[in-house]
Amino acid sequence: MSKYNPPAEPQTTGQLLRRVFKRQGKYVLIGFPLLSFWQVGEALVPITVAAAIDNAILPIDHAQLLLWIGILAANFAFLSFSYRFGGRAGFRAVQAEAHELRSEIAAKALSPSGITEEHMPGEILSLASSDSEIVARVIRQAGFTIGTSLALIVVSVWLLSVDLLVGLVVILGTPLMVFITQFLAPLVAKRVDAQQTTTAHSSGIASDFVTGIRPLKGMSTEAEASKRYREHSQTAAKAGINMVKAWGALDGLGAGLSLAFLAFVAAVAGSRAMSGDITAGEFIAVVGLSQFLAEPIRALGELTADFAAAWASSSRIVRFLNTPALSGQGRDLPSADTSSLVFDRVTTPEIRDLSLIAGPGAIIAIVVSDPSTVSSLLNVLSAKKAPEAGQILIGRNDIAKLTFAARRKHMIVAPHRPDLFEGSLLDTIDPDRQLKETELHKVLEAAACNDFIDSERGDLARRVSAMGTSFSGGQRQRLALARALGRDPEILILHEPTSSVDAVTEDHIAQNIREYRANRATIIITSSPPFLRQADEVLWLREGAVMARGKHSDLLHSDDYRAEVAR
Amino acid sequence: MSSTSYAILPIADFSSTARTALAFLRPHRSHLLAAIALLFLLGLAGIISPYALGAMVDIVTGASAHSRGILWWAFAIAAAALVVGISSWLSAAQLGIATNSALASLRESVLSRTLSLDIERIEAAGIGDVLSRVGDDVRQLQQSLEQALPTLVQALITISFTIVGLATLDWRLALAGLSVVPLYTWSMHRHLKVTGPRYRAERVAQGVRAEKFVSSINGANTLREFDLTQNAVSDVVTASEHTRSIAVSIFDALTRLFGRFNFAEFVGLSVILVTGFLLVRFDLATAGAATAATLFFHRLFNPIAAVLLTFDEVQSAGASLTRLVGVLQTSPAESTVEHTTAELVLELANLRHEYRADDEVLHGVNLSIKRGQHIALVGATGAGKSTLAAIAAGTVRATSGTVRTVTDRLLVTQEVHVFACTIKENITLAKPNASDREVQIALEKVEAWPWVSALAQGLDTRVGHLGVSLTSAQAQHLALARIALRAPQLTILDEATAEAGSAGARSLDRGARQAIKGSAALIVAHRLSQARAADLILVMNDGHIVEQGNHEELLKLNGRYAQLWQAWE
Repeated sequence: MSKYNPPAEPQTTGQLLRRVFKRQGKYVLIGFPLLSFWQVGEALVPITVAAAIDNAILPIDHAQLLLWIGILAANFAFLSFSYRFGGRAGFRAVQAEAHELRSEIAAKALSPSGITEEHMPGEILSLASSDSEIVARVIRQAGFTIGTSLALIVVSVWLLSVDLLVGLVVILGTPLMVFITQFLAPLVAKRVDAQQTTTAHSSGIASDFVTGIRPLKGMSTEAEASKRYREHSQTAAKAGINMVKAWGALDGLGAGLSLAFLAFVAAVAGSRAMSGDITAGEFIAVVGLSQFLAEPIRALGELTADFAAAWASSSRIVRFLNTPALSGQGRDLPSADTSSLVFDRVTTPEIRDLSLIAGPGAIIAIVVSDPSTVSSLLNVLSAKKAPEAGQILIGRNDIAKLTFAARRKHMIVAPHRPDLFEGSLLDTIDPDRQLKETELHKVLEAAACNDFIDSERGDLARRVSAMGTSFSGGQRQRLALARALGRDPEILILHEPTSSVDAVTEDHIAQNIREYRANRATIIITSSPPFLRQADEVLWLREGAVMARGKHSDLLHSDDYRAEVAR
Repeated sequence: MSSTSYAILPIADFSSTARTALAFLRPHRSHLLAAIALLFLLGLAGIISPYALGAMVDIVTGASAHSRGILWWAFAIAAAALVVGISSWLSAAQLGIATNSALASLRESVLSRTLSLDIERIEAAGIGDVLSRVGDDVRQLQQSLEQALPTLVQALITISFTIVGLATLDWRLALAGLSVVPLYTWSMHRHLKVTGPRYRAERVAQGVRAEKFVSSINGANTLREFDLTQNAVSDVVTASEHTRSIAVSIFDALTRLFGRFNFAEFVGLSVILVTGFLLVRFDLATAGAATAATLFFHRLFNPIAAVLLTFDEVQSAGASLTRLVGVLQTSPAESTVEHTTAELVLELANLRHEYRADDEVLHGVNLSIKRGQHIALVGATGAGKSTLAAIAAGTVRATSGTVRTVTDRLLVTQEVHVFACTIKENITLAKPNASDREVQIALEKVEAWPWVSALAQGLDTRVGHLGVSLTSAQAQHLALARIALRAPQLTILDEATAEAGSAGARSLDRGARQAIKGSAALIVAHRLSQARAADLILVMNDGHIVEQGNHEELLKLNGRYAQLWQAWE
């Protein structure tokens, strides 16, 4: 798989939008002129038809008829091929840009150095799917605006050459029509937004209830869920009706105005034709053109709303791409010995003066009474936050000064939640294909996965669905544990690795870990007795301070400790 | 636990889909009728302008038999403009009211039926099938109703009235215009054959892209720790690239279709010009009529393209509709549970269950729980504890045997789900009309109030997939608070405090004890401290109850329980 390197992130909304055109320059340079030719060709259709009527039908001239049909054919070929290739270039530009924005967003969301702000997955998904497409569509809007404007200029020049008065009416009237329809555009934009938000919300609620159908049934509260959904669905329906009304008004205004405009142009041009200032053929061309103009007027009227949407999406994307990375990242690569983990008087708001040494082969268990202390421990260990005082060292290397990659090479902090990804069981346990068959076998045994994975029978090829939903909570935990053990880092931090596993299996796992990690340092944040029994040293933290440390069997003499770990 | 046979929910056939759709539209028929009348008016007003312009050409060329002047016809167009504007606006609004309201009741019925289905039925169908119906199909239908339907209806009206306009002008000119119908049909046919599979592939690819994206983001921490982010990004980029290439190939086919449309437009205009020429030549029509005919035809370009381009959208909307109506053809789960006497809250007799044929997981289990009694079920993984709990809770139907229980019972399992709403709404699912005060008391009882009140918005904090993400211990706290709030006659806890082992979450165990205080409970637990406190402990093995008694009795027995306890301590 090739490595994806995102470009430097744009700093402002304007910069992002400008970059769209720079990045898709090749397509834009081909597409925009061709799309303009297409629009000009479309405008020439009514003019050509009028000329055919004027030159062939009115005087009844066979040769002229053939000539003008030939010209019409040439014009159609011109506009058709201009669109085919111009449209393709434009569409490719939009798609390529949307794809590149999606890739940048994915790379940012998954950047190895993390991001400081928590963003909801749904929010990032909508950045990557709808916002990136809305931004990319500015290319289409720009191409369309340029093409249409050019066509309007050609038409205007032609009209002015036919008759000054008629020409001025059309030239001044068209922008006026577009301008008037703009009054409704903000209303439409607002209602579209409201409709989209409420619809997405109600659809999210429905999916959420279906996903949680087990607990709903467990509470026998399906009726209440239906009722809540009905309320959201009705809100969405109302917003939908409001939106349709606004759209209908905008559409109706556009259609009515362009027709009224046609009436006015026809009246002026008709009077000029009656007085002999323009020919009958020119009159036909003028009214044909005015009828044709209805569509560009309507489309130009919608552009402002489209551009406002693109601007909003663009600024959302810029904000996300500029979310700062986590501060903990250093620049150094470790030197010398990396086989032990040392806490040297580490202090954070939640941890007080913690020192410990985990050398090769050691198992250190940490019993923590407060959840906030656990988060703080995990944060300083994974270098997401730096301690206020003291250091955490891998060998002699302060982890705050190491790069994330270097730290992870020697020390892995396995999250408590067993995140599994789509793929085979083998992909799950050994994503890098580092393990030999015997090693794989040992890992499966150590993590007690043998009761549901029979590697001899080809079970490793079995599919794991996204989030591992096809496995029970206990099985997921054991798979995640196998993955962590399989990596075989010099230092491994585990956080309640077996909370969903039954007691007998948990006991096996604790013994297996002792054996499996015989030459490696292992730190387990847990209050589970099987692990505590295996630990060389147990540290008990309460309100961030070390209350007691020593062998589990010795600590059991303390009533407080017993109460803490008793189950 | 899922069955091997894959039986998706039904898909309705055409006639029942149409019947159901009409049934949902019927309550809104006054709006529909209004919309139809307005659309008729719109179509009629729309053909005034080409007709009037033709008349003006005749006046200008002096060929006119028209007694009226240029300005009169211009006023006619202006009047038509007013009618077109208003009828277009009002018809869209009326149509929107009817379709939005009908769709809302359809989707509400679909969800409500889905929620009433048996869990086993849903599992057999696959949660993906069910989710895609209440999610994607509803969205698809909505989108079509919003965008494609109004365009399609207006375009069809414009086309039919334009043909009528052409015909009233001169039937030969109308025929000339219709000569291109086969060309359009042929281009569309070729196009659909090519793009049909590509559109379907595009949907699948977009689904894959979204799923890859969301699962990577959800597991970002793990991916970082195991240095797998590059792979995950590459995966997303590849998936995105795939959707891009499909979209481009569909668009390329579209541009070829537009090319054929252009050809048809050219042929149509030329045939009309030639026909007009001949008619004028033999004095069968005026140049004004020929002009009007070209204007009529020219104004068909956009509506024809619109109709053909929405074809696809309409097709997929139809497909979505058959899938939604299919959901309504299922039958809701029926309770096979009988009610109990006043003495017992649960009575299971000779209960047998198999998820797959010939693979029995419960072999004739008997169990009864008295009011206020706490019974614990313990045993190794796969002993049948969860199945027994699910049958008692009514989420699984036993293959055979008798179940007598109370309706007021509540099941909490290890797989808790945090609903995407506020904390308060999450809890009041168990008791809809509970006040803030009651919710707070319930949270206090299960020791969850400290962290809830520490949240910036307290009870009103949004949680779940779009809100604050809760730890599994916190999620279990919420589940326990539901029990405390409802205080049901029977509570069934299936590993409900599995996270209690983790640091500081010890309060979960105490919370569970508080929540079930005073009411009967069936507790499945691998955390034996919970079992220890129960009035009676049942040890299960391989679908049988093999030991029963209280903690001390079972320890003395020195059997399976004693063995489990030893491992535990």
